[in-house]
Amino acid sequence: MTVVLADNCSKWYGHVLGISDVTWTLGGGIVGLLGPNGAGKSTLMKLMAGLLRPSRGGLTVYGKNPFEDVAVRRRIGYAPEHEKTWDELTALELVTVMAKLAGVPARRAESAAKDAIAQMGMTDAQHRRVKGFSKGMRQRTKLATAIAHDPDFLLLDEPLTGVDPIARVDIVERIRRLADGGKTIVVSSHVLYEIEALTSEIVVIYRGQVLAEGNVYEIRKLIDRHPHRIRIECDEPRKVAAALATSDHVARIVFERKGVLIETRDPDRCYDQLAAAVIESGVNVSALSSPDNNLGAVFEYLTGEGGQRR
Amino acid sequence: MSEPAPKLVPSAFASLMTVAGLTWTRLLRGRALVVAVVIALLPIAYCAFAGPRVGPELFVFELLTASVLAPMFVAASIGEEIEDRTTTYLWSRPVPRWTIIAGKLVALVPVVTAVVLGSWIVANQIAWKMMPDERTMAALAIGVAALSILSAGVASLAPRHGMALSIVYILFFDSPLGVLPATIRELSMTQQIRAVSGIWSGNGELKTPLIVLAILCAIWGLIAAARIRRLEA
Repeated sequence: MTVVLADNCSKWYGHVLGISDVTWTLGGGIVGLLGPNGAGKSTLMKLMAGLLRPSRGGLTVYGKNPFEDVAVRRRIGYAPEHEKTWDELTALELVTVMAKLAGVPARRAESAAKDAIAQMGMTDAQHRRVKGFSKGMRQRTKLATAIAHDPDFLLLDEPLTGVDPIARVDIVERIRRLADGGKTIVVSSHVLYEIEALTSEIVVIYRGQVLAEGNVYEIRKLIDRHPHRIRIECDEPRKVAAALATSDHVARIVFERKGVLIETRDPDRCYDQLAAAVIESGVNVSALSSPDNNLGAVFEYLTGEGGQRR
Repeated sequence: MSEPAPKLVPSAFASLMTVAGLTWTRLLRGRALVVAVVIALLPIAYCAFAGPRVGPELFVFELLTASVLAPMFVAASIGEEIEDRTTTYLWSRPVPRWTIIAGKLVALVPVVTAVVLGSWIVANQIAWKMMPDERTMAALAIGVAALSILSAGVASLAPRHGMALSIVYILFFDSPLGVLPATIRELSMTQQIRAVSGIWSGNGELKTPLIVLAILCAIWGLIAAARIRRLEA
């Protein structure tokens, strides 16, 4: 069954290009949308969520135009990239409201919200206001709002951004479980290793165009040639650096005002060591991110190699 | 999930009431109400200062207060959703977008009405030691609703500056328009509200100003609904 069908779909914001002539079909499973910031991932996500209209061409979800067709949005769960939400509400209130608006009857909305919050491992914090949540908790709450109405199709825009390594593993596992439950999921990220943890099926998007799609293996080989950078914001960066300094895959360590930036040639090993180091040393990690300059370089390389789709 | 959720789209009424509930909760936990009460104290302070010299201009003063409060609540609420991008949560749900505007009006109009009428009653007690005329109370209540709909329209057209533009429009376009000695003044919302009040303006007739107000509200309501339907997040 075709879930998404983009047919020469383009979107401009005035003179700024969002996506250009994207033709793409999504049948099901988990698919990763990979591309550097500004590549057009969020634009494609918003088009699928019914938040934007194509400037040219068409895009349908389950055969319907999601911008115009209210009913098809009942089947979609969308977690946006941005963190802004109604911070005055508790997590339970927020997810309950979203469930009601998505069509869960009022009498069942709270229990559906509690289920969704539990699925995201947030039960202990469900009565706390979102205002005081860390980035990771906000991400989990956003995911809970997206799944509370039991949608068939999930759109998760950068769901692992800013999440600490331990929570990252946990969230990845929870997203996988949703896919195992039969949901079609599109996850976007500018970090290959985040996507790779979820799926091997990726769509590479760059400068508004689908550059490559299919198995992650080939693109990974290209990306591995470039050092991968990981920025860790924490209270004791020297402890983190010390734990990784002797590893052969670490190319460079740079101390920054709020933490440390690590360049590695083996991101998988680096993330594993990092998670272990954080647990052992008890360092408080407030944010973990991967600057996408390296990915941008790879995409420049890909386009430079001929620009043909792979 | 413990049991499968039915794949139903919420009714427009249910969506509207959910948005209203969300708006109320946020309002009660925010600071806007405190600011509104402070603004509503201005006519009361005027009465306390002017004493027995207060005349029918007090109604216009109260109407000015409503002209600030309605945009402050309605236009700011709509503009904030769009500016903060919380609309991505609302608009990705299977609800008609007009219910979001309507839900906000259902939540906020009674609050603004209560604040304005409270101010009007206390001001009357201080100025004249009496309860205000029922017709003036009705005019203010209708006026608040009308000005709120206007604010929703302006906010949907210019979300970033919705509150400021609504206030500027009412105070510097609609109000001056209403005092022009020409038929065009009938297009002024504040003029019609004054006419409904029976003091300061109009010939005491109710039907015509009410019909004109209803038409003006319908126009602004349609502008808001049409605009919000086409907006992108």
